[in-house]
Amino acid sequence: MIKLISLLLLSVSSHSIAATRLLNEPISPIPDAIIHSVEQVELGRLLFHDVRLSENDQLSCASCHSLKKGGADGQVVSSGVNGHKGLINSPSIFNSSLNFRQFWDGRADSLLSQVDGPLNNPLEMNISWAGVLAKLQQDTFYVDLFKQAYATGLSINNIKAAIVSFEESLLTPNSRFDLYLKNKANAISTEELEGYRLFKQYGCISCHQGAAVGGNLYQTFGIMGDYFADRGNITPADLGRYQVTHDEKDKYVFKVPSLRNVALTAPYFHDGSAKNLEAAVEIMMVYQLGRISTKQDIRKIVLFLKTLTGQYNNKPL
Amino acid sequence: MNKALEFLLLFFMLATLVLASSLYSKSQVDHQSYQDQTHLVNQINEQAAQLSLAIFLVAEGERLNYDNMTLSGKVLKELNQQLDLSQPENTKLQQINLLLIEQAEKIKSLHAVYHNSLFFLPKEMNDLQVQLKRSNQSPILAIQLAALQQHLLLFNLSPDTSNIQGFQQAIDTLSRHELNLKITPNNRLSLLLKHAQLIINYQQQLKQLFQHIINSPVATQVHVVLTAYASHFQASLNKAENIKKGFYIATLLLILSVIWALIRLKRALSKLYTNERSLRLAATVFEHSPEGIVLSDENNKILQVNKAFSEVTGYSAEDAIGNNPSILSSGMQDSTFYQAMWAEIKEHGLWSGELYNRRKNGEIYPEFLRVIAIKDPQNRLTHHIAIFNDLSGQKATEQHIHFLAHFDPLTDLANRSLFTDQLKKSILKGRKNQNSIALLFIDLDRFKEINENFGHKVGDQLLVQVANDIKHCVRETDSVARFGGDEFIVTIEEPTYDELVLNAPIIAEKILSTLSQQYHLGTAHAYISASIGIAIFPEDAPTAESLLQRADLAMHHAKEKGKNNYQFYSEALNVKAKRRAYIERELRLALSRNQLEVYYQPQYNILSKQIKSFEALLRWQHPELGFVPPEEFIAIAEESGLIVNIGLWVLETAVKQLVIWQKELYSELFIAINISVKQLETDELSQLVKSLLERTLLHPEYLELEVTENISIEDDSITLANLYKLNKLGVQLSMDDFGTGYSNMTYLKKLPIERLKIDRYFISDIPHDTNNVAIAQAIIVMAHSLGFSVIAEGVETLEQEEFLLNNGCYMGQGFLFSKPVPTQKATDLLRNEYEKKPPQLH
Repeated sequence: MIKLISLLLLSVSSHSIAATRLLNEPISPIPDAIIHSVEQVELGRLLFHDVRLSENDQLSCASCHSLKKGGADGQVVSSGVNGHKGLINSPSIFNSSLNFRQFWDGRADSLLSQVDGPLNNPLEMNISWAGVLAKLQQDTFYVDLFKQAYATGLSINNIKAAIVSFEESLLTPNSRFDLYLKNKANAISTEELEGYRLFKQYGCISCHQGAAVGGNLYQTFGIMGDYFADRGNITPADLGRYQVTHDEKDKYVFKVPSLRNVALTAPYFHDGSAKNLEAAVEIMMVYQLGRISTKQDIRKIVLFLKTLTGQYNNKPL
Repeated sequence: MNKALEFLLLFFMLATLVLASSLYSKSQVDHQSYQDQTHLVNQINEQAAQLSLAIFLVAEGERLNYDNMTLSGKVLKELNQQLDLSQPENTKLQQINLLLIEQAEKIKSLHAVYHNSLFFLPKEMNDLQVQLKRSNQSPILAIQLAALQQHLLLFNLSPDTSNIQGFQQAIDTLSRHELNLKITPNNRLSLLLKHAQLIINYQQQLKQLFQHIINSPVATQVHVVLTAYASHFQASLNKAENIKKGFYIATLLLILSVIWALIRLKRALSKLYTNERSLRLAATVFEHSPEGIVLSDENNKILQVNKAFSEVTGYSAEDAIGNNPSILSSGMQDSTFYQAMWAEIKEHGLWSGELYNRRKNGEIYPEFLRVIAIKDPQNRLTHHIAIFNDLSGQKATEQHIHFLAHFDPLTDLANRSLFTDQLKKSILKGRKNQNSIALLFIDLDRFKEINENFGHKVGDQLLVQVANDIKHCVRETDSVARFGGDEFIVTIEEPTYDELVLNAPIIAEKILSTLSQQYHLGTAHAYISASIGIAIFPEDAPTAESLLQRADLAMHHAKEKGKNNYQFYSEALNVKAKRRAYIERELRLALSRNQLEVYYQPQYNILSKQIKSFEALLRWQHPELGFVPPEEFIAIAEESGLIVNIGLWVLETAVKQLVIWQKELYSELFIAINISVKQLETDELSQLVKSLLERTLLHPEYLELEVTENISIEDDSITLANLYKLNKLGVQLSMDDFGTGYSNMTYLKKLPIERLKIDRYFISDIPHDTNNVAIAQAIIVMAHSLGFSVIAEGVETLEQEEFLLNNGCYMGQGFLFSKPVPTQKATDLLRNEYEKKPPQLH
C-alpha cells in the first residue's frame, strides 16, 4: 500500500525530470551540429555560394543569406535577378534546420523542399534545376567532387541534398545565453538577466521558446491590434499562411521566427518594417501582447536578445 | 514417330515449363512486406500517441516549450507519408493523422496566446485595483473589477457554461462602464478587457481541439488497417497454397514429359540413331526446370544434375557427378526411413515425400522429393530420376503459423493451448517416472486498474516486462506460459515431492519480489504485485485439468489473504469454498428473514468531540453461523450482485433513521452510506436516491455517499454518469479507503467528490510508523489543495487524534470515540450529546 501511495504522490508531482545540469527554462540551448559527411557539407558550401545557381550567373543563395550578415541580407526585402525587388524580408539561414517549417508562410515542410522555392522563383534566382545541372556538368571540378561525395555522382537530387547538408550544419551553439542555460551564471550580466525576466513577464516567451526561441509554431500577426490596418498598403505577402491554405482563419498568420542571432538580422518582420530591435519589440508589445511597456524595459529586453548571438565554426558570429 | 507428335511433345513440355515457373513465382508470399507494413502502422500508432501526450503535457504546463510537440508531429508526418495508399484503409489513416497534426499546430498557436493572457490578467487586475484604490476615483469601477476577478477565478477553476457566462457578463459590464468613462487608466482597462475576452474565446476553441484530439480515431483506424493487413496476408497465404498445388501438378506433368522424352531418347540411342532435336529439347527442359533434378544410374551414381539442383544444394555439376546422392544426407532421417523409401521404389517405381537434406554449406533444408525408377523395355532398372523442391520458404510460413497457434504473440511465451498440451504430456511422463510437478498460477493484482487508468497499450507493455521478469526468475528446466489476460503459469518438475516443496516457494518468493519493483511505462510509473497459487501433482490432483483448477483456487486464496503472497492448495481450501457457497445461499434469504441490521458508527469533530455524522454499517446475525464478519459476506454479496438490493435496503433504512434523529435530537446530523461498485453500475441508482429524498423530505446535503477507489471512470461509463447525477441532486460524495487503490490526480479531478476518507491502514501505528505519518500528511495536504474535506477512519488512540489535529484533519471515526453500535445505542449517544445542550457551531 505504501507503494501505491508513492505512485499516487509521483503522479501528483510533476513528471520526474532527468538529471541534467541545464536550467529548467522554456528556452533550451542549441545543440552542436551533427555532420555525417564533411565532403557533402563542403560541396554544399560551394554550391550555396555559387552564382551558377541563378539565371545568367547573377546571384547565389548567399546573396540573400550571407553568413557574414547573420544568415540574411540586411535589406527590407531581398533583390532577385535582373534587379527585381522581392516581396518579403529574407529570413536567416542559420539554425533554419530547427524551424518546424520553412518560409514565412510555412509552405515548405523541409529544407529539401524549400530549396526549390527561391531557385525557381522568377523574382529570385529564376532558373530550373535542369538548367543548373547543365551548367555544373561542364565543370569537371564539380563532377569530381560529386563523385567523391555521392555514389551516384552529379545529379539534381544530389545538388539539393548537398545544399541541405550544408544548411543543416549551420547551427550556432554557445551563445552567451546558452552558456547561462548550461549553468554558467557569469555568462550574462544582471541587466541582461533582468531583460530575460522581462521577456518572460511581458509574455514574449509564449511564442518565442524552445531551442530556436521560436520557429516552432504559427501565430497571427495582430492578435491585440490590427497591425496591417495601422501600417496600411497591404500586399499579398502580408496575407501569410492564407496564401497557402486560402482559409480565412489563416489570414495574417506567419511562422513565428526564431530569435537566435536576431541582433544581426535587422530590419525585422516579414515586411522589414522595423529598423532596429527596439522598434520591433515595441510593435510586438502593442500588436501581439497588448501590454503597456516602458522604454527602460524594452532596452533591457533588447540587451537580453543580444545574448542570443551564437557561434559558427567556434567563432562568434 | 511422326513429326507432328514430336512437335506436340515439344510444345507440351515448354508449356508446362512456363506454367510451372510462373506458378512457382506466384506461390511465394511476401512476408517481409507484411511485417514492414504492420511495423509501420504500429509505429504510426505509437507516434500519434506520443503527439497526444506531448500536447497533453503542454496543456498541463508540464512542458515549457513546444519543441517536443513539434518533433512528435514531424516524425508522425514522415511515417504517415510512407503509408501505401493503394489500400483505402491506409488513405483514411493518413487523413486522420494529417488532421491530428493540423489540430496540434492550431493548439500551439492558440495555447501560446491563451496561456499568455491567463498569466497576465490576474496580476494586471490586481495592479489596476491597487491603482484605483490609491486614486480613489471610481469605486464602482473597483467593484466591477473585483467581480471580474472573482469570475476569472471561478472560470479558471471550472470553465463550465455558467462560469463562462458569468465571466462574459463581468467583461460586458466593465466594457459598458469603460465606454462611459473618460478617466484614466482607460487604456489599461480596455487592454485588460481584450485579454479577458481573448481568454474566453481561445478557451472554447482549445477545449474543442482537445476534445478532437482525445477522440481522434487513430487507434481505431490502426486496428482497422492491421485487421485488413492480416486478412490480406491470410488470403495471399491461402492463394499461395492453391497455386502451390497447381505448381506440383504442372511439375509432375513436366516430369512425366521429361521421362517420356528420356525414354524416347534412350530408345533412339539404342537404335544408335539420334534425333538430335529431341535430345536438345529434353536437355533444355532438364536444365531449366525450376525443380532440382538428379539423374543417376542403376547403382544410384549421379550421371547428371540440373541448374536448380546446384542452386538449392550448393553442389556444382562437377561436385555431384559420379557421387551418390547421399552426399546430401542431413542425418535427420534414420536408416529405416531410407530402407522404406527404396523398398517402395523397387516395388512401385515411385516414391514421394518430405525429408531434410543438407546443403554444401552445411545448412539443413526441407525438400519435397520424388524418386522415379526408369526401366528398360525388358523391365530392368536402368536409371533413377530424383526431382525435388526446396521447401524452406514454405516451412518458414508453417512455422510462423505454428508459432501463432502455440505462442502468445505479445510476450512470446507459450499460450494456453500449448501449455495445456505440455502439461498433459508432463503428467503422463510424471506418472511413468514418479516425478512431482508444481503449477504456480500467477495473477497480477490490480492489473485491470492499470489498463483502465493508463490504457491498454501501457498494459500490454507492462505484460511484456512482467513476462520477461518471470522468465528470469525460473530455472532453465522450468517453463513459463501466459494463460490469458494477466495470468501466467510456471511449471516446475522435480524428481521428488520433497525437492518440489522446497523449490516451489523459493521460486514463488523470487517472482513476488521481482514483480514488486517499479515499472516504467513510457512516462508513467507503476507498482504491481501478484498473487500466486501452487498446486502439486500428484498430491493435489491427478489430472492436468484438476491440477490447474486447484492452482487457480489456491491463487484466489492468496488474493483473499491480502494479495502479494503465495498459497499452497490444501484441503482446507475446499472447506472454505463450501462455506462461501453456503453463505451466498443464505445471504439471498437474509433480507426477507430480517437477519440484517444497520449499525451506526459516529463520525465526530476531533476538537469539540461532538458527533456530526454516522456511518451506516451493515451487520448480519445468522442463526447457525452466528455473527458473520462483514468483510466476508459483503465481498460475496458484491461478487454475486446481491449487494444491489441489500445496498438499497441499507440506504432506505439509514436515511429514514436519520430523518427521525434530525427531527427528535439534532437537526444538523449527517449520514454516510457506502455505495458499492455494483450499485453504481445500475442505471436507476440516481432515480432511486432522488425518490427516497423526496419521500423522506431529507435535504440532500445531509446524505453522504461513500464510493471506493476501484470504480470505473471511463468517460462513457454508467458509474461516472451516476456520480454526476448524484452530485447534481445535491448529495455529497466521498472517497472511501483513500490511498489503497489506484487514484491519481486526473482521476480525482474527474470525479465530483468532496471528501477523502483516509484508510485506517495509514492511521494505524501513527505516530510510530514514520511511513504512515508521511503518507497521512501527504493525503491531508493534497485533499486541502484540491478543495476536498478529509476524515480519518480507524482512530484508536489519543496520539492519533493529536496527530490529526496538528495536521489539519478535524474529522475522525474509530474505536477511540465509539465502535459501530445498533440504532438504540446510537440514539442514546446522540441524546447524551444534544438533548441537554444546544448544538454548537462546527
